[in-house]
Order: sequence, then C-alpha cells, then structure tokens
Amino acid sequence: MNNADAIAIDKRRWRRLSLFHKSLLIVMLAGLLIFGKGLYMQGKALLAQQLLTFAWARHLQDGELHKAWPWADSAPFAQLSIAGQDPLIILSGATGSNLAFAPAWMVSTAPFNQGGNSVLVGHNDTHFNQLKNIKPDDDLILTTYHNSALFFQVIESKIVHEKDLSVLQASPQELLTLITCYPFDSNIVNSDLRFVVIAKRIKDARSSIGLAWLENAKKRSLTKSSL
Amino acid sequence: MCQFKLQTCNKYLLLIKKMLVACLLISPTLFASELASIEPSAGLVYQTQSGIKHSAPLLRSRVEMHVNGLINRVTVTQIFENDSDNWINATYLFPLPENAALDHLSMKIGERLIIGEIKEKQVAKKQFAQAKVSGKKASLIEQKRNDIFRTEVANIAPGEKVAIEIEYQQSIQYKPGIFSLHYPMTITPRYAPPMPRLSRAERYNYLSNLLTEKHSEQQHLFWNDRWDWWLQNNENQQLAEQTSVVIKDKSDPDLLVELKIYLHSPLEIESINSPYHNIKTEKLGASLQLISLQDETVIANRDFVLNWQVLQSEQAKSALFVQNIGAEKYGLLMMMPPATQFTEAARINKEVIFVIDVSGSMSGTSIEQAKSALSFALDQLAENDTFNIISFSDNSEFFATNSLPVDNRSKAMAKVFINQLQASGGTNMQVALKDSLRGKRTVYADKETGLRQVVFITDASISNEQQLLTQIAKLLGKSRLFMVGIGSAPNHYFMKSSAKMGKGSYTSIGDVNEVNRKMSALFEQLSAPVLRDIQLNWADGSPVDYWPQPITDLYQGEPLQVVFKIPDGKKALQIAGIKFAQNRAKPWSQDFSLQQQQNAQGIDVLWAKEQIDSFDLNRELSNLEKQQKITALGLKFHIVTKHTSLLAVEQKVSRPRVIDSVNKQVKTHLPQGNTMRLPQTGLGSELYKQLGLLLLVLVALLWIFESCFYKLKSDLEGVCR
Repeated sequence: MNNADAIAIDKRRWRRLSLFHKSLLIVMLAGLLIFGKGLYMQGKALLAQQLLTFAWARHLQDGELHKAWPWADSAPFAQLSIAGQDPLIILSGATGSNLAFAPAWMVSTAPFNQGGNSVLVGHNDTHFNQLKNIKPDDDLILTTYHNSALFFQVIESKIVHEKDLSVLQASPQELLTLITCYPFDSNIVNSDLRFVVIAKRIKDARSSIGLAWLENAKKRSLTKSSL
Repeated sequence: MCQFKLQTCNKYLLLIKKMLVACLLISPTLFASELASIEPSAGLVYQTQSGIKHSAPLLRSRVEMHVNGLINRVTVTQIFENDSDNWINATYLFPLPENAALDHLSMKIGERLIIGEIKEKQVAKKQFAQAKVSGKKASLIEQKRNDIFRTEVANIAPGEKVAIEIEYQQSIQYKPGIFSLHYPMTITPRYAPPMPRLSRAERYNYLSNLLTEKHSEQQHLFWNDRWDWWLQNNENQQLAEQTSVVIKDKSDPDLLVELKIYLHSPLEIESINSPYHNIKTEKLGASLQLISLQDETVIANRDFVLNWQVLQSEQAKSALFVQNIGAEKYGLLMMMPPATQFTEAARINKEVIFVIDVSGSMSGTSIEQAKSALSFALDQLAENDTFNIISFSDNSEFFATNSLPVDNRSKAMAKVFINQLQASGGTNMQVALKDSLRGKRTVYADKETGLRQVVFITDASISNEQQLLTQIAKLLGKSRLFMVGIGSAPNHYFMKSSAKMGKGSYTSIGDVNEVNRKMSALFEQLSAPVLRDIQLNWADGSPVDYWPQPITDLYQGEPLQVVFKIPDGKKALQIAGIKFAQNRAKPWSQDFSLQQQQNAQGIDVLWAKEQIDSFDLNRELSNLEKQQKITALGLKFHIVTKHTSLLAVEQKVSRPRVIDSVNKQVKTHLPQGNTMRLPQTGLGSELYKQLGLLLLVLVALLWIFESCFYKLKSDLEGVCR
C-alpha cells in the first residue's frame, strides 16, 4: 500500500464522514428547534400568567383596566382557582392568541354572575393541565372583574366529542363549564375529544373556607407584584 | 487480505450509518402512525361513558314521491329495527319541506296494520303516554317546527321491525321554465339564545297573576303573553338540545335513504337534474317517468333537490285548476307576471342593504359561500344604487355609517371589508334585523320611487323563529326582505316565512358553484319589480276567500300562485295591483274565467295548509284564537299542525309488564360541510418537547457510536499495516 493510496482513502473517508456529521448537525439543530418550540409555548404560557397576575393585582387595587404588557390584545378579565391550585387569570374571548396566554371565556356564553352557563376554554398542556386530577365536589373559585368571588362546586366531569355542542348550551342553572382537550399528557395534537368539567354555583356556608383562602391568594399576588 | 477486511468493514460501517439515518428519518412518521392508531380507541371510551351501552335503533327510510302537475304526494316509510336486547321506545327528529301538509300515518308490525287518527296535540300526547306505559305498540307524529317533525314509536321488541308510513303533500316550486322539488334530509343543530332564568319569586308572580282573575282583561293578556313567551323559550331550548343528538363517529350506524320519484307531467320534459345527488331516469309511459338514485341508498346528510325543465313553447301564461270535494269547490290559480323582457330602461333605483351572518355555525364552507355571494352581489349593483353591509354574530357591525353610492372606490372598500370577515360567535339575528330594517342610517334613498331592499345572507341556525318573525312584521315598513340561504341545510321554514313576511323572496344556495347563477338571478329579479299590492276579487266585486294573504310582490319571472274557495255561482275572477313600468307605478287588473278550468286533486289540502300558515303568521290574532282556528282546520283536513298530531295505537298489549323499555333517540347526520365544533385546546407542546428530545438523544447516540466505530476501524487499519 503506497502513500498516495492512503491519502486517497483518507480523503474519501473525510468526505463521507463530513457528510454524515453534517447531517447529524442538521438533525441536531432540528431537534433543538422542535424542543425549543415546545419549551417556548409552555414558557410563553407561564410568563404570560405571571404578567397577567401582576396586571390583575393592579386592577384589584384601583379597579382600572390594566394590560399585562403594552401591546397586549386583552386585559385580565377574571381569576379562577381550581381546587386550591395556583390561580389562573382568565381572558375574554376564546381566540387562538388569547388561549396561548391564558384560559379564556367564550363570549357567546353567559357572562359571570348573571345566571346561565359560562364556558371557559384552556389548553390542556399548559393552564388547564390543572384539570387533570379534578374530582366531583372540588371547589372552583372565580373572582369576577368587579371583584366578587363566586364559588362553584364540580358536579360532573365527562369526555365529549368536539362536535357535541350540547355543553355550550344555555342552562337555567348557574353553571361554570371548563373545556380542554383530551387525553391529557398525550402526544395527540388535534384530538377530537374534549374533557369537560361542569360546576354549579354554591352559595352556602362552605364558602367561608374559600374566602379565607382567597384572601391569602390575594395577599400572595400583591406581594408578588410589589417585588 | 487485510484490504479486503478493511473494505468489508467499511461496507458494514456504511450500511449501519445508512440504517441509522433511515431510522432517524422514519421515526417521526412511525410516531405519527402510532398516534393515528390511538385515536379510534379513544373514541370508544366516549361511547361507553354513559354506563350501559345501548345501541341506537337502526333506521332506514324509503321515500316515494308522486308528482302530478304542481302537487307532490310523498310517502315516507321509516323502518325502525331494534337490534338490541332491550325493548325500545324510539324517537326520531326529521325534517320535511316547510310547506308539507302531513296528513296520513300508518304503523305496520309484521302483517298487522294500524291506521293513525288525527287528535289534538295534548290529547294525542296523553294517549300515547298511556299506551307506552301499558306496553301497547303506538306511534305518534308531532310537529316541532313547521319543517321539523318527530316520530315516536313505543315498545319495539328486541329484534323486531316496525314500519311507520307517513304521507304528506307539497306544492312544487315553479320558476320560469323550471319546476323544482326539495326533500330535506338533515337538520342543522339549532342555536338557542341564552334564556334569562325566572327566579322563584318571578315564577310565583307569573303564576299568581295568571291564576287570579281579578285584574283587567288587558293585564291578564299581558301576563298570558309573558307566560307564553317563557314557554316558547323553554321549548326552543329543548329543540336545540334535541337537534344536537347527531352522529359523531364511525361506530354509529349511518342513516340511509332510498328515494323514488314518479314524475307525471302533461307538458313535455326537456331535462331533469339533481344538483347534489346522482340520479337515473326511466321512461314508464308517454307522460310518466321514474327517477331513482344512482346508488340504491344515500346517506342522509344533504338535502335532495330535483329540477326539471319543460319545453318553453308550451309554457302557459296562466292556468286555473279546480277540485270538487262533496259540496265544496276549491281553485288554484297560477299566473306568470304579465311583463315584457327585462330592459335596462325599466331599472328602478334602489337602496340595497346586505346583511351577512358571520356566526360560528357559518364556519367552514358556508362562510366562503356567503362571502362569494356577497362580493358577486356587489358587482351586480347598478350605478344609481346605494348600498351598505352589516355583518352580525353576537353583535352587528356596519360597513359604513350611511349607505354609500356605488362607485369603484366604495366597491373596493366593501371587498376589503368582506375579505376580513370571519365566522365565530352566536347567531343574534334580532340585532341584525333591527339594524337592517330600522333604516335610520339612510340619507341617499329616494322616498318616492326608490326601493329599499334588504338582502339577508345566513344559514339561519336559530330556534326562536316566532320571535324573529314577529319582529320582522313590526319593523318592516317600506323595506323588502330577501333571504339568501347558505349551506347544505339552512332553516328553510324561517327563511321562507321571513321572505313572505318581508314581501321578498327566498334563494337557497347549497353549493359554491351555484353562487353566481343564483345570485345573478336574484339580482335580475331585484331590479325588476312587476306588481305590488296585489288583490283578488270576484268579477262582481265581492271578496274572495283566498290564501296566501297578503300576496307578496311580484318580480320579473316569478309566478303568482293563489288557492281559493269557490262559492256557488261565481264565474270570473279579477286580479288587481300596481304595476311598475318605466320607473313609474300604474294600477293594473286582469280577469280570469272559471269556465276554462282543469281538474286537479289535493287542492283542498293545499288550501288548508296555506290557510294554517297564514293564521300562524297573522299578528292580529291572539295565541288562543290561533290555536283554536288551527286545531279546527287540522282536525277537519286530517293535517298534523302545531296543535294537532297523528296517533296510532295497537289495542293488543305486547310488552310484558315485568320488562321495562328504554328510550332512545335516533342520531341524525350533521349537514355536510358543517364544521362547528368546540375550540381546539391542545397545542401539543409536550409532543414538540418529546420529539425534540428524541432527536437530540439519537444524534448523541449516533455521534458516540460513530466515533467508537471509527476508532475500531483505525485500530484495524493499524493491524493491517
């Protein structure tokens, strides 16, 4: 085996290896991008909630409308806490852009505190992941824009098909309906099933427990915003 | 030797690399196919959610139509087959043409045949409930809306078939040269606006005010009205609920329809076509043709329409049909407007208000159809016209504050406005009607000769028809209302009635390809009113008992169709009205002799049906009066109405007392093209994260693997040297 041959082999190998490594690099970049996109979606949802919470705290102090960031489309509309978990800020209008930041109230359904069926929608991989372990009798506390706390109790959770619009229908009872995609923690992107939680308004003594909790939550959000 | 080893080593290395890269490329697709295989099983979870799984009763419909002149007699056989192990009470909500008079019911169980009788609605309901409890087989046909009926069949045994046969009569639509009939197969889920709930105090108040008789007549009427309104709302809610029982996934059995039409026409038929279904025709005789579906059955997810054209030369200007029933005589008059061809000179300046529905039910192909219909309509406007556009869902939005004159600039601006429209939200038609009909925003309209025409583009997926119709009657004024129905199953009844109420016409567009043809026909018509304020009298001046009343305005190419009762001794009929010609209105009249009559069947049912419709739309009658009049007519002519139902009960008890029966509603298909659904709420961020991670791990593995292999190879090379 002479020298020239060895060089030729070396060159061939180099070319082949470089191609392989190039493709590896490209795949790695793609992997990073895809991973980053997932991270970005969740980060955006998390960060938006933080900013919205600050805006909400300011709103609770002076009753004025505060946007979470100057170019935001919508301002905090209500606050919802699901079974004692971190409270979520609700926006008005279930559009794709709103849902990326927070759960949203469907404007075609009943307004809060006026009777009827109010429907909230949220993404199952971010905010409404909280619904995953919800049980009947769990408490939902909704603080409306005018700072009145409404107490709801979960009466039913069910899985429906996306074309089953019955859950949006008006009801004589005062209900809060939460809708998110089903199944949770799965890799299905456009699922045609929805997880629906239906809660009825309660106005009894039990709400005093909730009130104490709510005070705490308020304090917490106030301290957060003053930081 | 050593070189050979090195070569094989290199070969293997290459092969392994290739395989790994291939794996990398394939993995996402593998992932995807795995995803696809998960979904159906998730669908099954939904099925068993309710606890016990009952399969819905299978239903098959067979439709046979006999068209004779202008009257279509239809027999619909609904065969309910119970393939479950339970006794079943089946409910089926089905649509019929909005002008259908349903007058016959029979129930067939094996060889036994039970003929249905007409009863007052409440009586029929009670008797049916009794039969149901006592285990007798029974069936009940009720009218839920003018175009929605409900079949209920009690006590179908496991494995048993029950055939319900109903018959209805319908008048054929006629536009110049073209006859068409329409058989609806599916119902768009109805939307009911949120209802304010009555508090307990309010309810007591209502009831106590209703029950005490102390206060004045007027007060009593007021409370009656409030109560009726509340009941009506309640019923709307129920209907909205029932129409949303639809077929959602593939595990539900399809609803199949078989269709046969015997077309008997004395005029020679030039062509027959069905725009949405494949049909075949067969000649059975000189004037009889059999039309059936290309496939034996079709899935009931889209309305069936049949059009046929007669030879132009034989087209009669007017025709009078008479039917003798016992001592009574009924007549049917059809007349083509006595107008010349449409000319530019005859064009009348008009203000056109377009109202477009952008509610959630319009999403999908419907909104596209509506948009293209609207832009096409814009181009049809003439120079001296003015126009405005209103879009509505939960609220209404104006294109311009005042109606604008038609020029290139305003047209271009309007097109931009149309393009940005998106479908979402509820159908708040009340607001839209108020905004469009009130017409306070008009500045350009010429009050004397100008016409104000409101073109309403919607799928009318609403359930508070009565309230809206009342509103139209109240607000109409000088405006004329033209309804354009969009989608594969618009609410025909509402569209037709509001067009009738608004003295305009109704155009239904079922397909994007039809937009241009139908909209240009509509606009040609809009520009050419022929007759208005039409009245009928006997030649001696005495009034005629005729329906519909009032008769709508006549436009270019529209026929006039009137049904009337003929008292003894009347020989000639006079029609009078105001005729438009050369931008001017003149009185006009024409006489018809009853001597040159043609005999016909079924005019009495037509007459009764028209009369019922007119009572229904008459705002001067109180609800109680309406109910009495409609009940009387329904009972006399054996027709299912708002207040009368058909009931068939078998005398024999078939279900043993010890076994219970289960209630089931037949699931119907969603109209084709309907994409209304709950919001999409999965971003799949987890999926992205996982996929990204997977790729990164793979890259890392490959890298390590490759470098190990490289080392191995160079070792080998070293050995060789």
